[in-house]
Amino acid sequence: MKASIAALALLAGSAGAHPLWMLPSEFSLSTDEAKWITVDATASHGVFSFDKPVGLDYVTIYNPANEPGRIGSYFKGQRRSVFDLELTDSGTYKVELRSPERYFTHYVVGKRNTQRRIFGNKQEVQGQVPEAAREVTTVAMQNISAFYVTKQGPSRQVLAPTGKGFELDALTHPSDIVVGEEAGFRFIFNGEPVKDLKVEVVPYGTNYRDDRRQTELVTDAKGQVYFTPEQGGPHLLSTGMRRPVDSPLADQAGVNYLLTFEAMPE
Amino acid sequence: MKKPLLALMLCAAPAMAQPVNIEISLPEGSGGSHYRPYVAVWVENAQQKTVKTLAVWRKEDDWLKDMRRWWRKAGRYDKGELDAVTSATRKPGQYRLSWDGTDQAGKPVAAGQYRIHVEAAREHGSRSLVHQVIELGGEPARYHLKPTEELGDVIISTGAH
Repeated sequence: MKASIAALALLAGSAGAHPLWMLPSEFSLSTDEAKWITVDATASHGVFSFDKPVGLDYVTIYNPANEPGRIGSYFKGQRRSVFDLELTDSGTYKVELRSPERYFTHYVVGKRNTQRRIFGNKQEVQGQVPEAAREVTTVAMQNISAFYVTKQGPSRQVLAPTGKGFELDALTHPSDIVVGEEAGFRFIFNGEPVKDLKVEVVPYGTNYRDDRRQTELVTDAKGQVYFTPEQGGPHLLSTGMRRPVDSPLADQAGVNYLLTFEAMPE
Repeated sequence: MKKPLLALMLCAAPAMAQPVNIEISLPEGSGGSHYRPYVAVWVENAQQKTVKTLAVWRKEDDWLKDMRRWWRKAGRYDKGELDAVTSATRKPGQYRLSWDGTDQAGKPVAAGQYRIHVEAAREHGSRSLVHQVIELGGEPARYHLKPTEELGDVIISTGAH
């Protein structure tokens, strides 16, 4: 029984959900004056390929002083969403989409163990789940996607973990990731390291090569992984976890986390 | 007593006496709309930390970041201090610079290995980055770096000439 719970905890998010990622036009700016960047956001199984537009009401922009702000109006097309962002201050901004938790309940039913899923928390789905259902599990899912962009020199205020929920605790500043140099990432949940977490990193341009060139990593006891980029350009880091929770609304909490970062050429 | 004196001599003496000369040629571009490259020349120590920026030939701030390594290592941290070595972009031709063995603050650095970097980035063009390890305070030496996409020959010479 224990082994299966451990295995469950390692599952990377929910198989059905499209990963939601953001890709900024620039990760590094050299102007003194304010400068706009533009950001694509989409939910897709591909790495930086557009599939479905996403609502961006939960995007928060943290300025270099770590003060949160909202994006303005944005464009939602058929395949992607787009917003623009003006960087006025020098230092590192964090842009994060942290969706509220969404509940869904899955179960198996019938002789063939047919898998079913309905939306709703434990209380909401009462009466909707057939009596013959087995393995009824309600998951509270949260999608987080983030990137960092730096104007002039990098700063560290936005990197400070809050100790709430699933977070990247950057060992290497995301604006200091360089081809051929080892970069470290640490993952924490409510401030505690998340060990045995599967982390995947894929460089830009999967459409234009045969090999996805993905790197698969697993966090150690400190919740850390190390990665040495081999090519410059945007990379998509994805990870996710599930863990049992003691809640009247859900049996498990799940997180999908995606970080877009740039590996700078040497 | 002897050791510190010797160390001191190694530190300070060669740097001022033997400047490192750097000759850079910028190649002729093809076609009429050849943009002038942005060029940075700087020195890093054995730990790849920037010791001094010797020259930045540039125009708009916006494109400084395209000299990717220079921007990451030096430009983004102390643009103010770099104003002294900043000047306009240059036409194709031969240019000569020298490093007097001092750091950004003007203090002589210790003898030893340093890397001279030359990086050029051009709008509608490519980026070229070349570097050469030199021995500051060592035997006179002359290095010839072969032309790259955006840089012509680079010749670096150390010691007396």
